Amino acid sequence: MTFDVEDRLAATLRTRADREVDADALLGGSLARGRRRQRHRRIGMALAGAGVAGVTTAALAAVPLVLSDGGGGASIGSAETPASPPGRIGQIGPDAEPPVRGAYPVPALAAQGVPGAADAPEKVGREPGNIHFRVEKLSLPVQGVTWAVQPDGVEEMTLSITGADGGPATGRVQLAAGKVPEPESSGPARGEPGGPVVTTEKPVHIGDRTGTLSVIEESGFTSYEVRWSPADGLEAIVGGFELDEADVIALAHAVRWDQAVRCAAPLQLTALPQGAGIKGCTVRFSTEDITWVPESVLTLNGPGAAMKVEMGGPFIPSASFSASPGDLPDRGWVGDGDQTLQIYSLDGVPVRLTPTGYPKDVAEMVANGLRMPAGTDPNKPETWPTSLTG
Amino acid sequence: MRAPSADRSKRPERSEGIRLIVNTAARSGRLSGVTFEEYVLTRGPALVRLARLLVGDDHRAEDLVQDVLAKAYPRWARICRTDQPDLYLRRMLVNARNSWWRRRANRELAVAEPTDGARPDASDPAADRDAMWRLVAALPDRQRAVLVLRFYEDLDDAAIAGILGCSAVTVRTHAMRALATLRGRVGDAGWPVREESKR
Repeated sequence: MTFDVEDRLAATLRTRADREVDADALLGGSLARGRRRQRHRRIGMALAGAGVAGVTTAALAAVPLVLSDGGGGASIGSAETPASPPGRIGQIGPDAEPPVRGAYPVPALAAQGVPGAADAPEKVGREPGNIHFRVEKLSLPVQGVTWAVQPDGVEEMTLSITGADGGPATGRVQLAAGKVPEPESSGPARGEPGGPVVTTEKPVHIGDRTGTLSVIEESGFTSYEVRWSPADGLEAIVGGFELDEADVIALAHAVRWDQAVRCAAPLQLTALPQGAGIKGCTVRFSTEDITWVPESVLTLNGPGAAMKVEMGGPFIPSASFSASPGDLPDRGWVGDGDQTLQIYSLDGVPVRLTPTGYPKDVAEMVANGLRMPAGTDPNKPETWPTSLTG
Repeated sequence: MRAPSADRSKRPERSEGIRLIVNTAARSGRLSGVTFEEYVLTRGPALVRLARLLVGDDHRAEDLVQDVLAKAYPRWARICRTDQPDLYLRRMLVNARNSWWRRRANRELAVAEPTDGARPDASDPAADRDAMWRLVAALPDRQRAVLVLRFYEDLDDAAIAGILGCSAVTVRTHAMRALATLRGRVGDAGWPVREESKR
């Protein structure tokens, strides 16, 4: 038997795609969404005709996404049981029922003693271990959350949630000193042909500040975005996909600027390349309904070089790997041109280091310096060290 | 909660008839008179399979297709009157896949990268396909779409160009670059490449 790339490619695509599809569920889900879309459109046109445009989505989604909460809030391991358990992520079709609105905690590691952006705006984007805002609870089920300080200084929270129609939805909060930079994108930018188009802009009040609500159309999808300055010298953007206008505005109202959240990792870096520092940190948490496990990504930047250090996470999606872990070495270089140093288990944590501009021995040095402090449980983020370095 | 299996058990006979009608009509490019429901029952699964290859995740794929079909639903009569409704819906799907928000969500929440722990076993076809899929998933969006439409959907360059909104020359360029990338990477990875049967 002989192969070449095209044969193998065709076989691969067939294997990946050719599995059973529940056509009934697809029809049910499509009809439900299509009819809802039609209904929204009719109501929107009717209200616009009556001169009350802007009330539409609020009227249709009377319950806001986020519940105001006086304080305290949830942290890892302290999830409150909602009135009814959330449906599984990605459940779609006729069986995807609208979720029960409740008080669903957003997993986070509270940063004790760290001021929020309102009290220390000058620290925003400058501390890779801290995000200077927090959202504590949502009224929609939360499947996962990513807290991040990007190397470009943007602090970010991305929520994976069950949307109001039972399908997957995404919410996002971004904060930066000055302006939040436009995202990197391989497609056309906003305003370019084929790119996102802002169809409507209107003022919206968030606390005692005034921002702008933008309605964005792209490829037939509508999304909403609120942009404002929660404190002098800072810009925040709150947006959502598969979230309606009311839910996005509610999310903007729910951000607490007087609290901070920790970005953490189960292993500390004790050896850094000459002149390098940690510039970015990402930590992902999830509920038990999906397959993610806590994951951290640290970005080191040095003169003309960088390195990504990933710990935990959805590390082993490959059947070829999981089939025979006993036969595998403890560590090795993988990928094109040996681009990633992979350690299969370091105190129970899978680790990957991907240097850019650094030689292999520098990555090995950083790897050899990874330490897990006593009392740390990789599966319990609340036990992770409070400092990224040791 | 409804009982899907019970519903399905009543449907096959009707679906088979519908499938024949719709597939015949689709092949000829004419779907005038075919209802939305009939179309989704017969041609919808093919859209989901295509979406699986474009987004790499089953849940997102089904979600994406439902969104596309939901958009098509209010305009179904008009879509049926287009010359090539199947291609029209595929174009909607590819465009939707490129949505800014979905890209960003994928960037943040992706669970598979081409450089993770996959170390293919040359004797294991499943491992081989798994490794090949990672290479495909790492290609730029347009190159990946061209390969999927050509090698899975079996469409010619003109049809692919119609879906992607570009010229056939551009399609061929994307395909050539994508295949060159795959060949180069397969070689680097040291997987068995038997050269006897180049097409």
